[in-house]
Amino acid sequence: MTVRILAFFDTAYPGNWSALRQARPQSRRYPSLNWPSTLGTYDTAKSDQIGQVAGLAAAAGIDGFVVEVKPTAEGYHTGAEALAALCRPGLFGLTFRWRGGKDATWADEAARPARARQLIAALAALKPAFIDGRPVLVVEDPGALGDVRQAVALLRAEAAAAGLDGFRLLASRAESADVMGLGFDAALDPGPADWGSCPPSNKPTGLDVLEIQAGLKDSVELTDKFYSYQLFIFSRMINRETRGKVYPRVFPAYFDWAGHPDGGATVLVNGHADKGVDQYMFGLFVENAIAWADRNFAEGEKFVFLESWNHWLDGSQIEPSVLDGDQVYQTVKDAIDKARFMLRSRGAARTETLDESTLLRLRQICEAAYAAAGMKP
Amino acid sequence: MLAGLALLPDGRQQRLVLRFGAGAFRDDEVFDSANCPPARYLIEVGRRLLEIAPNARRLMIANPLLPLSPEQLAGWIPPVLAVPVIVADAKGFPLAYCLPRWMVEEEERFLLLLSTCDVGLDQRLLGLVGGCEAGVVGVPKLDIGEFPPASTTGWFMGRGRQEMLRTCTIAALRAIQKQKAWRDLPFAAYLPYHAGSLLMLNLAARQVPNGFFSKEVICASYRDIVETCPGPLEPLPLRMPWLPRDNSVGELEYLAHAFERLGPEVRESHFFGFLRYSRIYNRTPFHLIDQMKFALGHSMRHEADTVHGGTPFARAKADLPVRPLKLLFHLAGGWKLKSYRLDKAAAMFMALKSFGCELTVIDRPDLERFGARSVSSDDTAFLTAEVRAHHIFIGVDSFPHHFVRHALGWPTVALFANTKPCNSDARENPDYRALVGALPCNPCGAEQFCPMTGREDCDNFAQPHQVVAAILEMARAVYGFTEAS
Repeated sequence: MTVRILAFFDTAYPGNWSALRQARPQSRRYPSLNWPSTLGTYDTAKSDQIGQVAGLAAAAGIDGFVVEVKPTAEGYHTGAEALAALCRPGLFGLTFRWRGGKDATWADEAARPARARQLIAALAALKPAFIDGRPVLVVEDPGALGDVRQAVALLRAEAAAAGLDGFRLLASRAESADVMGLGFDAALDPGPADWGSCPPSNKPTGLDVLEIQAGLKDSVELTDKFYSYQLFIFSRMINRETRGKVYPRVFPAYFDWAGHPDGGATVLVNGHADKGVDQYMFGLFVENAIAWADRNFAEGEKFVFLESWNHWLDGSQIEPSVLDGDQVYQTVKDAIDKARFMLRSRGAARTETLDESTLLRLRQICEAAYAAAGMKP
Repeated sequence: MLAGLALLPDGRQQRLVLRFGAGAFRDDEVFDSANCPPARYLIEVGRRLLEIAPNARRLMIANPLLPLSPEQLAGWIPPVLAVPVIVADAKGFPLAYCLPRWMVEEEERFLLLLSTCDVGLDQRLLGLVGGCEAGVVGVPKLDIGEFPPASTTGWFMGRGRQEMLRTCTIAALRAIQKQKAWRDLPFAAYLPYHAGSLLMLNLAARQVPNGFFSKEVICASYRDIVETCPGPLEPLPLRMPWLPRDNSVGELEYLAHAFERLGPEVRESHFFGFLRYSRIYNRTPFHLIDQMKFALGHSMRHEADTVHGGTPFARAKADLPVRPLKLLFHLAGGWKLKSYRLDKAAAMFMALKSFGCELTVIDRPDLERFGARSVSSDDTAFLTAEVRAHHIFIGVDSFPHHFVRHALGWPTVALFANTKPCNSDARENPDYRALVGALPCNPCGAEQFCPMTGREDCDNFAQPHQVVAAILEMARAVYGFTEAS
């Protein structure tokens, strides 16, 4: 089994096409939103249209989509029924994410057991479509769940009751130590809006603030965060092994200004706002993340999450588009091809690994050696 | 993107489009090799066209440097079909070559001598090789302009490199004119440096017995490499020192001067293929040995053709007592970002000393104070002797690593940082490990300063404890070493 590449997928189309059509930037610093080309403005509920979408994703080497489990008054829904019907074991599958911290229905403590049952039921309805036959649920913003340990226990108990064997629970978190202690199986790098992995490039001075207040400067400098794409992804991948069991989340771009009309947007900038995706760096981001996941996770637990297949409203989509043609899509396809070729051809004849206590001892010895040499690790 | 058109006897056309492959080996992909001139791709398109259209009479092949489509080629089919014809832009940059089938089938290797950037030279070459007057058809409305140093399709072919291609074509024209038996002249791979590239070339040549080349131009000071790791290519020594790594001499200035230095007798009695980079070598996932194999003539159509899929060239290990574990390090690459940082090396050495290891380091006397014996290595015989006196070699991405692993087959831990392991590592085995970080900027192409941090070292090297762990794991697996014994 190779590293599984899972792309976040929004099932809220055609509804979101009108939102995309209506989105207007309120600052010249905002990169343009894009518009679909090859696949058109599809309807995720129509199997003929969603079949083309999934086919194109599979052709790029993507193993499955991550769809959101959204709360409703009656329970939860994914909107992925048509997609699930097309999934085939070993070829294409589904995993799930739940924005637990933003789920207002979870706030009612007494209702949690019932909500957990409903959430797991929404997943169980799509059981034949699970990637590799195993249910995987990503919990975004787990810290906002209230009693996290209780939430994890509820979900696990309901999954067991529903016969969801091999249930894997991932927390969207930059470090795994605390969430694994709470019962999660692993962590996943948070999205760009939830984790500014380096300091923002815009730090308004007092004078800037006055000029903004006087209408002489663009107010987004004060309300939004701008980052250099290159530094942002560099800082996510440096010394990764020190963060524990955390799956990489890779993305070509991100600017969520459409969802923040009153400020608070996160904008990753590639040089200038109008430059588009840094395809070279994005390709390497994907390629190196896959290689890293292969080296650092056990067989059957190797994942890289791609943000996103079709999050057009935050600019992270890799689908073919009017402004980029199929270049971003092709970048992902090439990066996956390269990484998989490397993994296949380099072989996996690893030697026995040292046990955890020896590895810890080695780390301590090296740190002591740094100190003895008068240097810092 | 490469394009071709087979012109069939009944007037129909068979169209071909190939993308540079990234490791999936699909039917519509072509192997991506940096080490061959653009004309090598012209040959490959010709081979593929004859595969899909075995009864083609003529082949129209786009200049590999240009992103053309078969539809564009179809609009340029020359009216005269009996002789080779080059379609050129307004200023004489070749757009496409329309060649009789026999020329592709029987004179394939001479097509390697096409400059692909000078229509006049290529017209003369095709005329001499074909024994006829080659034609030129102009497309006056199209002006390619100055070809950029790096193109979107991965070509690394600025003005200076084009000059080198012209030089090889001019030399070929002279050789044909001077030598009656020019068809029997040997082809020489023009790749005088660096040591690692030369080693890869020799290893590749062993696997391409019927390639284009029978000789190789090498810096005379690298002769020991060829002697220690011989291949079927006969060396043509170049009496010049190798190109310094400090950029004090421009690469193309060196290459052109070195070509002159070969002397008229050598130049006029050989054909030369320019095998230094024409494409960006680290954009492809393929090993340099495989990239060389393609340059030498192998089509590299299947994954099984690549060296990673095969067994190691050599396999050996130390015949020494298990303790003390003797380790040989090479931590200084050809440029600063390839070198393992002093403080990390110090920590690593002190940790290894605590396990009773004996350490030797090549060309890093600054590490003596951390318990290592420092040696200088300037030839392969000395390096070989040192390697054989140690259990494991630990080296950065530089010639000693390639030599120790690929030529000697010694247990090796490789340390990569801002270069991609896949381009020059070996197959993972209990006696081979390649360590690298996860940074998305790898490979950056920088040499002296990190483009991200501005520092003179690369953060993508493995941490000291990771290197120590890899060494101890290998020592256990290969020699039965235990830390406590």
